[in-house]
Amino acid sequence: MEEIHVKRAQRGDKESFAAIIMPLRTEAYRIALCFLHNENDSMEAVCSAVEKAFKSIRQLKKASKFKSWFIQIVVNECRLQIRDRNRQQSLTNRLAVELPDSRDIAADKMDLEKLLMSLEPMDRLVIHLKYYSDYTLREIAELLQLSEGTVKTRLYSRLKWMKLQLDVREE
Amino acid sequence: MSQNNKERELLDQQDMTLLEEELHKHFVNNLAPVPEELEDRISATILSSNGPATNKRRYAKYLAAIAMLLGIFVASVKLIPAFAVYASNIPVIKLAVNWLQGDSGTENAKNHGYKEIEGITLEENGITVELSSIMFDEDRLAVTASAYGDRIQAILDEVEAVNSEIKEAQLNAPVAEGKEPLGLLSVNVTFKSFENPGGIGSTTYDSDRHKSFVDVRAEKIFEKGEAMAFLSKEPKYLTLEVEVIWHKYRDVNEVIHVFKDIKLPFDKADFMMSKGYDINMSIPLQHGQLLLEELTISPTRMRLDISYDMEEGYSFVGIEKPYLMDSKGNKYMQEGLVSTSRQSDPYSKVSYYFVPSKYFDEVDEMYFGFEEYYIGEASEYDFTVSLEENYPKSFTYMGEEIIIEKVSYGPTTEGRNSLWIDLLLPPALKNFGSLKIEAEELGSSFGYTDMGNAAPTPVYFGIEVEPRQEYRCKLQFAGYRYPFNKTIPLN
Repeated sequence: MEEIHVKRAQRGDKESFAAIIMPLRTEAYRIALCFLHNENDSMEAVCSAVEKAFKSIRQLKKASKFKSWFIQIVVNECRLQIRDRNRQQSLTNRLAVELPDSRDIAADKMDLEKLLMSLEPMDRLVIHLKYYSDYTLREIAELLQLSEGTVKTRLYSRLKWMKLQLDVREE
Repeated sequence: MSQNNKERELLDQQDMTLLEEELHKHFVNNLAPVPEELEDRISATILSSNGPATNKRRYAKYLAAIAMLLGIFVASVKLIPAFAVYASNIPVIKLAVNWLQGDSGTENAKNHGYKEIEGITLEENGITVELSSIMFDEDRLAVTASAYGDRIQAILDEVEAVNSEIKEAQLNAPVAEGKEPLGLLSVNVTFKSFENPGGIGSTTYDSDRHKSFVDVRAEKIFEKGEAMAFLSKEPKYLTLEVEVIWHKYRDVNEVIHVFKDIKLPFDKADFMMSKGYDINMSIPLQHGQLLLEELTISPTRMRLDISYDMEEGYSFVGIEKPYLMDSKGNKYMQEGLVSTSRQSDPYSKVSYYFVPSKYFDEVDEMYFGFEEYYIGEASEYDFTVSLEENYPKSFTYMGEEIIIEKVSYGPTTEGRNSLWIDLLLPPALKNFGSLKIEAEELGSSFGYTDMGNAAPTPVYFGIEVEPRQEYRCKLQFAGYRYPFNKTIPLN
């Protein structure tokens, strides 16, 4: 049935487009929030993605790929927002972009949420997609337009780092 | 690996598994609530949107058939890959060989000593035309024509520039006012040596080559005796004409240049005659029968001529995946030209084409088979729709219920108003994507079938027609599926 709605949406039917977009709003919002950590920014990113998706829906070749195609647009919108945001922020305010050396750990306790927050948005998204949305590595790779190998390496190196931080905390 | 290392690795893996479980729990237990206003904001976004941008170059993605001067001989042509511009959902199949040089059949023939006629290059008025891969035998005359040069490049660049600008503007508005996109260039080949000089052509615009070249693979399919009649006049040349045409706007075609009176010398000694085998056997079908008439084996392909005799009220629509097979079990399938049909006879005839050819091998036994066939209704109109009625409704076709899901009137991608009909076809029926409206010309409809596994199958039609109270419609080339799955020995 979704495929019928996609076909109709490609012909400009707004009702049909709404029917396929609304069920994805929760996942889209949570992905945006994972990236942007701001409720309003996340809603804006989702709405921008909805607008762009409707404009370019004719480029979608396979109706069955609608969900992953739309989520990709959401991710790209978030990236654009991050890029624009980074242009305005000073370096000292930015989230850590380098993987910190385990010897440089802050003395404060770092719970899981803080550890996640300290990751780069993209790494945070990969972990969210894997451990909350249950995407496979291949699906994540397709979504983020990376190779599966890259996704795997990044994921497990970040997990290793997080594990180290948690081990240090326990000590 | 030492025992200590193995144990350490196992511990690491266990720790990692624990961390992964922790992460999953963390996400589940700390789900941020989704703001209630998000749904309203998304709705507002959709309502205020201008909708999908039109893609004026979508036809550039598909192989396009240019049927030139179809005479009474060929009433319809089916080609694979799907050459019809309107069949936007039929997947494009990669040809086994470079299609500009021919197909599996021509490739096989050349490997067995088939000689091509030498090509020629002409230059006039800033346009160069190369004629190559020229094959001439009793079955067909085929040629590749490629046009390029300064004048061609100037037009291609103009088309690219204008259409890119329009496409960019359309991201913000459905149709850029005052600007119509420019169409594409094509090359037409006319086979002037013959009384019926028309043929078929296939081309593609979807590659880097077509930023500077315009190519066509043109072919004249000979009637029985036509090639021999030509040869009996002891000709020394084949005479062709090549037109470069710019399909500038929707109803405006501009002839850029005509290369007239092109003479291709050829040696009659190289001409290969076809081998014909009378078959004269019938295959009973539901509501009629197929008559297998003749198998013609030519150097580059084989042709099976069939006619069909149906009970009153029924029409023969087609067969699925036909093939020929030899005594060793080798199958000969379809590639490029699938079938041609003619309607000048009392019983309608269809010719099916198969490659490669058995021409260069011993032909002892041959078999013909196919997976299924389709029978339709011969009625003039199948159903009636009205914009004032409520849907869904249904009608019966070949004893099966077809649901009319929705009927609406609205713009096409070019902004022209059309009647839109959404149907759901039951699994027992197959549709090849065409709808006729009473009093409208054939070919004015465009439609597509969902190629997924949905059952019933959605089929959508759009027809550019003025608003009316009601429309009488005919599903063309729709048939009830009958399985066959047999291989018949040809006598």
